[in-house]
Amino acid sequence: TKCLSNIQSKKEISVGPNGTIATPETNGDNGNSSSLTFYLTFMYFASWLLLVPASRLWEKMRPMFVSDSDSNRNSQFDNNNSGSVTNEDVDTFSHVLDDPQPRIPAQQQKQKIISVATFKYVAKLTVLALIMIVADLTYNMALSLSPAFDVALMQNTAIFEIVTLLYGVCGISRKNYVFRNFLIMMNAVIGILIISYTKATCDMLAGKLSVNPNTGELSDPFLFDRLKGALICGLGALIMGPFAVLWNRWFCSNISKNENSAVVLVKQSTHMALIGIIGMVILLPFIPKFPSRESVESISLFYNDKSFWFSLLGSIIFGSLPSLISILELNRKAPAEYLTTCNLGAIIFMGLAEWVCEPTQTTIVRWEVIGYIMLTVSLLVLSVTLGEGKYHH
Amino acid sequence: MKKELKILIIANIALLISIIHYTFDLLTLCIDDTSKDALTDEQLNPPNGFNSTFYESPPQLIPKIIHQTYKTNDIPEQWVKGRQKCIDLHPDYTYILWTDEMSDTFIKQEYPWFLDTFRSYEYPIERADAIRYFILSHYGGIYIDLDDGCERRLDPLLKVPAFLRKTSPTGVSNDVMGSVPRHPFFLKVIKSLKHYKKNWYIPYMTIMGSTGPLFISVVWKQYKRWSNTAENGAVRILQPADYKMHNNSFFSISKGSSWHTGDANFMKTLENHILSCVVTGFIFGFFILYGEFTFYTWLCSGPFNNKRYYIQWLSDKFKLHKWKLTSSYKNKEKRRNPTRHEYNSRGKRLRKDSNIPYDSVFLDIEKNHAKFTDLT
Repeated sequence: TKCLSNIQSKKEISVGPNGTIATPETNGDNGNSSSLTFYLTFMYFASWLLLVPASRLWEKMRPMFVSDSDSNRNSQFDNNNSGSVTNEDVDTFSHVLDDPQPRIPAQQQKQKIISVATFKYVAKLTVLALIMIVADLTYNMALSLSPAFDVALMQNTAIFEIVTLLYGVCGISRKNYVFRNFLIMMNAVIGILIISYTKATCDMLAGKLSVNPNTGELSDPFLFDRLKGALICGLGALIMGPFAVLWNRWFCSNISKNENSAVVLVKQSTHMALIGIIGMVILLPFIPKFPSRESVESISLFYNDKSFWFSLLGSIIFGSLPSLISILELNRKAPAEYLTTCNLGAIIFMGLAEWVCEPTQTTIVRWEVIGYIMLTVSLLVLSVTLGEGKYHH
Repeated sequence: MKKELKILIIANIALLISIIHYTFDLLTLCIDDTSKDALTDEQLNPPNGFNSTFYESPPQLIPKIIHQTYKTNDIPEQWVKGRQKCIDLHPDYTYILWTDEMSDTFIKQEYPWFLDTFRSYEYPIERADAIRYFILSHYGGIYIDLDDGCERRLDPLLKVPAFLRKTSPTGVSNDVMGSVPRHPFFLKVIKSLKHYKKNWYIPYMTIMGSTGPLFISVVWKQYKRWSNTAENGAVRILQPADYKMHNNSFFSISKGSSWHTGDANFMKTLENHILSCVVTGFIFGFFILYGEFTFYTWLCSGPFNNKRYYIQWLSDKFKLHKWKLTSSYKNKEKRRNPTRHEYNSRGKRLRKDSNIPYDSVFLDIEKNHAKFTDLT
């Protein structure tokens, strides 16, 4: 988030030792601002293509991180299956792999490429891709309007709430201790509220905002941009609720306990990669949207900037990929509702990232600390209560 | 899908529809489309001035009258300068300062149907808001708040049938307005005043919603949606840069908002914490919806999911209560043992009978009950 925010908030780019050139945004060209949003969304989907090799790599490196007892437990399952991922195990048309029927030879699979099942599979992927496009576009749009912390807080709060709610209503999460969990969740969100309230106070103390001495009002020229950004991000993130429910229904419910974990991860990564491809195809007509000749030059200069690519790669390698792989792993190993704790954790880590990245501009007040403590305690309790059960291996 | 869940979903949808219905005009304010009706730079600042032979100046529509309002003729010091500047810049304009007394007399004479409403406004600023709509509709001209001082002549603004000022973040404000007499928009505004006279319990909200900027913004949205806004019915919008703090702005602001009370300051504080306002909205929604879900799961898991058992349980409770009331007068000893036992045998299932349906639990036959042990 921080890297993407840096890209979005860049006002000028350096073109050499002699000077700088203004980015399209400073020229008041809104068309290019939106094309940057589309471009970043496109690149985010492109990063999903790396999921398959990354998941294979993760599975190979996994024994180094997994303890002996876990390995023994794993081997029980793995012995029943092939033990290693082969090309026959993971085929591009994963719907065939999802089929609980015995495996069909690769020759026969290829003959069934054009079938109702394939059509259904592609339709499912397209629906998920469309949902993801909306969520990611609103996220990037909000990043161009609001500070990174505001966007991260809003997005994670919205996703936490909607996923918790829809998992409950759709019967994906368990109905144990619902009231107790509700109280803990309310404690967590009140912690988030305290953090968001004190954030403005901290910004004032850090000198990011100032008060107009004549009117006594806050001189924040970006006040309504922040409001717009928070609303766009929050409302756009709500669509992640249906995404989570549909993903669980379509691609997680038919995984058997005895299935090789390596195969499952690669299979799910393949689904994600295909969603990424479909998303890129859908976005293709929108990028790059160049309304004029001048903007073509300025936007290509923007892409020539090293810091643009550095930030983008940083966001993919240290942000999107590890996050997606860990989400897939967690979704398989822990109860579905356990994933929502990741959103709460993301808010805490965003606060830490802000503190690390802007040490001179960070002011911490007592109530902000109280908010973080409330959130952390609730997160730990939720991790224990929601993580109970399911097959941990 | 369970019946309870269906009811919850239907109730929520009904609630959502009713909320959308009642707040539709407010929701439409989220879409800011003032740019279509904006007064253009060419209209406000013609290339060589209005006297240029190359520029065909449109005719003046709004009469040259400046209206201002205050309680009395004793205007506070901080506004005198701005007001005087307006008078000095426009010697050919008629200037009218409407005092409370003048306003009341005007409404009484010209709009008696509104007099009761006008007098019943709780806050004086509501009367000050309402009167400006009536005088613009009646006489035409330009209304200017006393805290707005003039920076240049207002002639370019007279060339449109009516204009309002855009405010942030959305909608229009009522501190600077202009109109021809009997403009359809201002006729609609004065007709809507009665309907929107509501007490929202928070003074700031009451004033904003009944006569203030929120009211005029909502009516403006309705007017744009339903009325013919072409040519003479058009309402043009003065953009923020043309209003103040720019080279060619028409007005400058001195300290105002004399009607702001503690709650208005609180609203300003909320503006400073805009992120937490949005987060509060999301948390409130989550609290309501997840609270409903918690209630629903409790309904499903509790004794209430077995209707027959619940009715029996209620009936036993009722009988026990009734018996307690009657027996307290008769026999205290009797109350403790036999009937209590009778209740237990009926209301609770013994552990050894746990697999037998509730209806099949009868009196214990080993106790030589006459009904079961009479073998004859």
